[in-house]
Amino acid sequence: MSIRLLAPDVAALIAAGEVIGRPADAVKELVENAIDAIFARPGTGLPLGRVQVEVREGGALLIRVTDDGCGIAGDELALAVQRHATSKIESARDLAAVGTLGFRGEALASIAQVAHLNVVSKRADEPAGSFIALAGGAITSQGHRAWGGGTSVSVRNLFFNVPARRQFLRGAASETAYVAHLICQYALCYPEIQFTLETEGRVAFRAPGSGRVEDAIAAVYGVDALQQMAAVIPAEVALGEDAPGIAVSGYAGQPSLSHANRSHISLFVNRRWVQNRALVFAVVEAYHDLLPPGRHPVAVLNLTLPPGEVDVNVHPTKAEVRFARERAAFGQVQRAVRGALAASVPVRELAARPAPVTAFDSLEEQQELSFADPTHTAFSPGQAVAPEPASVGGRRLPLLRVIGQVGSAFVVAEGPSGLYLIDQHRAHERVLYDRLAREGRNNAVDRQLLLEPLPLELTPRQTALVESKLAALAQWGLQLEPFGERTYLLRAMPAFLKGSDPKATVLEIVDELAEEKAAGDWQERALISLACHGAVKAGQPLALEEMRQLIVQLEQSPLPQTCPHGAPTMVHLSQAQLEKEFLRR
Amino acid sequence: MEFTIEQPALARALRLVGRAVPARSTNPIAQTILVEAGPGQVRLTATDLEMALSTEVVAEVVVPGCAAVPGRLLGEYVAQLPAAPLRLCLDAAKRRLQLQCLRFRAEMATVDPTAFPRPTHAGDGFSVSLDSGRLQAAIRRVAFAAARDTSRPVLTGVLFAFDLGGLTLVAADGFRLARARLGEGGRPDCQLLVPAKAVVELGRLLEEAPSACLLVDGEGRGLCVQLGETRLFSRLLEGSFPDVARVVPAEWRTRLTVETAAFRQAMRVAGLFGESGEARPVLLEAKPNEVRLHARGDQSGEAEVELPAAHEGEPQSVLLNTRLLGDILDAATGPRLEVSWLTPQSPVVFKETSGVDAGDLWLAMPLHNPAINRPATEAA
Repeated sequence: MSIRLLAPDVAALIAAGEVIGRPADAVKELVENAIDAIFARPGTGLPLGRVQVEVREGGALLIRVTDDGCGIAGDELALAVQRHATSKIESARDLAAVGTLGFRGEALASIAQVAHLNVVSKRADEPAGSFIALAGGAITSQGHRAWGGGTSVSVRNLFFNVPARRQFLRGAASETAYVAHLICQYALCYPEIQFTLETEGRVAFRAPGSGRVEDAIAAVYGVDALQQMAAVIPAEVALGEDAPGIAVSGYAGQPSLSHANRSHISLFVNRRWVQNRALVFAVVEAYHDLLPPGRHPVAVLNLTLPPGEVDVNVHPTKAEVRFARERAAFGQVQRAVRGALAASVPVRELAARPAPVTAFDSLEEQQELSFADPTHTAFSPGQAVAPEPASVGGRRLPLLRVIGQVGSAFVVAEGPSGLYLIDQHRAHERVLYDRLAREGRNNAVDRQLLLEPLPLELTPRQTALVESKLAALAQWGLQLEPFGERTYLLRAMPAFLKGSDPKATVLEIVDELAEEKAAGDWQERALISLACHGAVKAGQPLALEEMRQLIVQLEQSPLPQTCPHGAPTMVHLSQAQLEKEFLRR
Repeated sequence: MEFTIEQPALARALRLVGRAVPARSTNPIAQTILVEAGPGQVRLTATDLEMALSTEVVAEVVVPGCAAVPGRLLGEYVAQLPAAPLRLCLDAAKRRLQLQCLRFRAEMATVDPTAFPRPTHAGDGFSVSLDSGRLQAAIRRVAFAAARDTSRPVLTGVLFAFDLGGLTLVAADGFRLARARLGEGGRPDCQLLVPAKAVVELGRLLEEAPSACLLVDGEGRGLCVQLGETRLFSRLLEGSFPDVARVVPAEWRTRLTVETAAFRQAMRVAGLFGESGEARPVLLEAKPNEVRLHARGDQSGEAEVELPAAHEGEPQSVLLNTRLLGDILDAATGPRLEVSWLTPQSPVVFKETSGVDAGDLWLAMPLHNPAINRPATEAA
């Protein structure tokens, strides 16, 4: 077969396939157009605009996105549905500083290639609306009709001419779920816009468009969840010597609000919803010692940085972005989330928490409006709606009085608001972890020298791993010395580990190194393992003074409520709950 | 089996052998005490399979015989009875032991005594007689240093090393070593490794015995110590104990001689301030005519003690773990201790300087903290 140029319709079909893979992709393109249209027209009231999304059969039968934005002029409709037609950028220079969600001029054309498309629109200055209908990319009808304003795009029979792709669509419920997830992301990112999602004729989701991200979070995750989230206070950090800063704002869920997957982490860069593995990992890392393995946090975060610092033109769907300084962005996200958590992680409640505020409106009464700036760059939540942190007068833990020990495993303590049960192993683990991390940085870990060096025989893989990490291990007091091909001599160990079997401990830490995953931080895991080995075990009776010491040391920790594995160190049985259990109220 | 015995004598004997009854065991027979009645006396034996204790009590035996009785119950029951003659009678058919003491009557279920693991001792080994006071003192100085964790089994034992001049006891864990010598019991070179648990028990039994006779079985697997009417059996550990001569340093660069009591007190006081979980570090600075102890914790503050000391060699400092040293200083009995070390990272030797114990020593590995050691060594 000789080489030839593809026919334009074939080429267009292939290109459309890149942008539109499933109904949710079409919804994304249309919603982004709607948002851009709302921001393109004058207006400052709240809600700033309305976006109504309707899907039937998961979007395969019908997708309709209606907005009250600026509208498309009647004489531009035919142009708008052509490939590379856009009103958002003009020159290549504009690409470097894209201020709108869309800019490629591909969405409508791509959708038109693979579905029956119908666009109705009217600009405010036009006397009547205009419409255009296309099937498989060809215009089938065009004209004027009565229309109130804004734009409505209907997509019917998606992939009617690409049976292979249609076959790969999942069930209507799954596709609807994708769409709903997407709408939620935009609702979180644009709280000043009222989003409505209708599926199969019923309203499935509505964001109030109040302009406050708290209301959007309440709409998406519920008021209960909102109460367990901490505000990330934006603090601008300069990216480089003469580079402008990067600021992170939004909300981070407390560890009590975890999920089995990462889909509850919503990240926006300059108010563009993005899926960036590094950033998601930065968020997850911030929780590394607060959540048990397999649990993931809830977070709604927006990064604000100069447009030149981020490239959004990586992929046709624009979901991927590249940062000019990824490390800085990563670090900033991690620090911001960590800071918000450290300020607010509460002690885990033993059973049901006090009845949460249920009426949506009452939240408004409690909070000031603080998300009022409806410009295209604002995303700054105001005061936290998070529950009052357990801290009293700057303390991270309430003042506790040790009463005793239960089952040689839990310390019982009394606080100002009831009873606290503290897991002695986890609490000590947290204390040791913090100390080891601090002393390790300053190379100030007390190491106990061994009477006779202990030979450790390692596998070739372990040897290769250990070889490069001797210096870091020595910093924590594990002094290993090469002795022959695969043997190392252990000459010293951290003094706090004295009571445990040194050989087994070291081998376990070496195993931690061997389990190196692409994303995992071996130093972190090794530190946690060391702290775990050194900590008092469950089943070990403690003297009253030892328990007091443990609590005092735990109070010094920046994150005393969880152990480094992320499990809670203590539970709280409130006075109110005790009274309730005893039928006193 | 039927005999009459004085309650105080039986209670004391049960308390003595009861120490060998394991608190938990999957084998019910292991939690029993074997009661054997012979002419004019009753022998009680208990074992946890590692160590066995056996003792004899005078009794008026009517019918000889034996029974295995639940140890804890028998011990606690007899201990509560009044001081009066106690009659024990075995109902062989029902396998029940009937006890009667004044108005108190009881019946206890027994276990088949043939299943009881009796301690055996092959007799063709050798025996050594030792003064109980001297042996007990040596055990007190050494046994605490044996390792508690079982990762290196040889270190859970106490080494009994015989030579022509006498017997040397050595124990060590990974971080310290203790060595004490008895100038008696000399015989050709021979080494026994006795589990520390049995050695501690032996130390306790020696309080009441005037002398001790060590009987080593011919196969070198077990040890029997005869202490009057009481006998302690223990299995011996296998494996080679670290070479003590190699571990104990022959040289030093810094040597101090201090009053033991003052040093012990200073170490305890300074130790209150160290903070490193288990470690509690104290910096020991040797200066001309004095030694300065300094402890500091991030949260606790700091403390300092100066002690008069005879100083020889270099003015070095060394970081010590007070937790590790506490036992050593408690074990030292002489009025003065000689403390010496070669470098801040080599073993620190504590040696008795006078009396019969002169030459007994302890060795502790120092702590190393680059942040603390550095200025000290630079200053040196």
